[in-house]
Amino acid sequence: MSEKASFAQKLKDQFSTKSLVLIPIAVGINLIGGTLCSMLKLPLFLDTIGTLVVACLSGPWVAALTGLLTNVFLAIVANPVNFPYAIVSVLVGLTAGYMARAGFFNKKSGIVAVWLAVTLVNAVSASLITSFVFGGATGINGTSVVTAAFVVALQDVLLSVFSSAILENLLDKGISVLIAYTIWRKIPRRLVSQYAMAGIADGEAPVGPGRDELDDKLEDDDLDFDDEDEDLDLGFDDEDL
Amino acid sequence: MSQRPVADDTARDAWLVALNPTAKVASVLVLGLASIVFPSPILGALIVVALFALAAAMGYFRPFAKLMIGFGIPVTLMLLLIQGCYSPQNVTVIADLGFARLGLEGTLYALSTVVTLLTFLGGFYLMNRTTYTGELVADLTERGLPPKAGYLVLASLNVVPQMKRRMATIQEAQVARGLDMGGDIISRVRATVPLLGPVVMSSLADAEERSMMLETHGFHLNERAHTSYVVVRHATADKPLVIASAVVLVLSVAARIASVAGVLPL
Repeated sequence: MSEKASFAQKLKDQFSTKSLVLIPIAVGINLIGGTLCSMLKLPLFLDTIGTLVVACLSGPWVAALTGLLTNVFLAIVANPVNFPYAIVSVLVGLTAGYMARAGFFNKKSGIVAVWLAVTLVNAVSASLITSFVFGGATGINGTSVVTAAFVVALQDVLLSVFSSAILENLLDKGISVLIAYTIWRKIPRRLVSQYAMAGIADGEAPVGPGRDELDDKLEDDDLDFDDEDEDLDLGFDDEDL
Repeated sequence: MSQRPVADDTARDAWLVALNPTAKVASVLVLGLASIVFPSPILGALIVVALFALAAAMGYFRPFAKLMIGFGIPVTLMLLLIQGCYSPQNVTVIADLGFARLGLEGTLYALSTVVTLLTFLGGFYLMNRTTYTGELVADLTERGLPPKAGYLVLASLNVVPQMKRRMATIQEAQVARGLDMGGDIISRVRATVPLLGPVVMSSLADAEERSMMLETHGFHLNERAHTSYVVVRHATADKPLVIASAVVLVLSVAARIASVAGVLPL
């Protein structure tokens, strides 16, 4: 019972007004990835960067909601084909969020693990949806052509869909994770500290290199200030207002 | 979708614009569901034809046809190849293409999927063209959607064009500072960070301001009902439209049950 209550509390902490405002912006970052790709003529989607950044800032469930909303938005505005893939985005958000909470986003080997995990989750869930909801192809991108080529060669729909999904995702998620990691390292500490995952970045887990340097610089004159801050927090709560 | 249609009674699409937004969304969803449930592609095809007629009557025929054909033809060809030739359910052969045989079961499955997709695509297109999102969200909030969920939908829709503008500004600034946006694929991938980074950072700073603004407006308070400036339209045709869609859905479910039970030879 107490465990459940603490989970609900954690969930509530993730969905503060700040996170609520962050979600549409992350959806925007996800969607701007597509614009970026067409701007630079890259054969990618880059539609999970916002989800990954939110996973670092606000945690798994906010990231999951970001993924869900991204696909709902795409379904309504661009093409309803995107709607069933909301499940994929939700799973990617959860995976990245829990890995970020475990500190994977703070070291280079962790980034590789995030890349592989997100690729696998995305490829498996997306190919299940492509095969069982759409019968193998959605026709909205070049992947369908690759799938069709695999079908002719392998004579098996599910295997072909999975093969083309894994190829496409290894590349796309690799670059997305790398960009998200670069951005995450550069987000100022002042902004990070407002979100639910602030504790992770502030001390519970090793922090990113960018923040490491910042910490070293600030360590001497910042320590006293931090202590004062904690004292102030004790008698002051947003909910009481 | 985010633009507010001008209230003009003489416009050809005045009838569709005047409908209640939730009624429009509900009919699109219910009709799409009906075409999934119905045991053959015929119903979906009929709905698609009806949508074409509606689009033509409302004066949207050209963009509507462009969208539907541009999406429909590639996906039909792809699915006919994948399902029609390689579906494990294929028993009856209807054509021999040389490298593969076209099966009846896979072909029917491919066609059902395509018409269902087209039903949703066309329905949502007409809805988007004739609905102001703010009105839809205001209507849904009146009907009991939590204001926070409404905010998420509305803000997501508004933030995208705003970020596109910001992206264009940053692109010009970075190019002026010597960013190379051409070249081989590696240098182009490298160019993503200086383009996306400033957009993300300024958006995060923006998020802080927005959340402070929302809190000063009392958005996080739940004791009182939230009010809206947006006037929600209701039309006499709302109810008949939703009821007609629901009837089609009920008939489709009946047809599916009959087909599974073997009464209807579909």
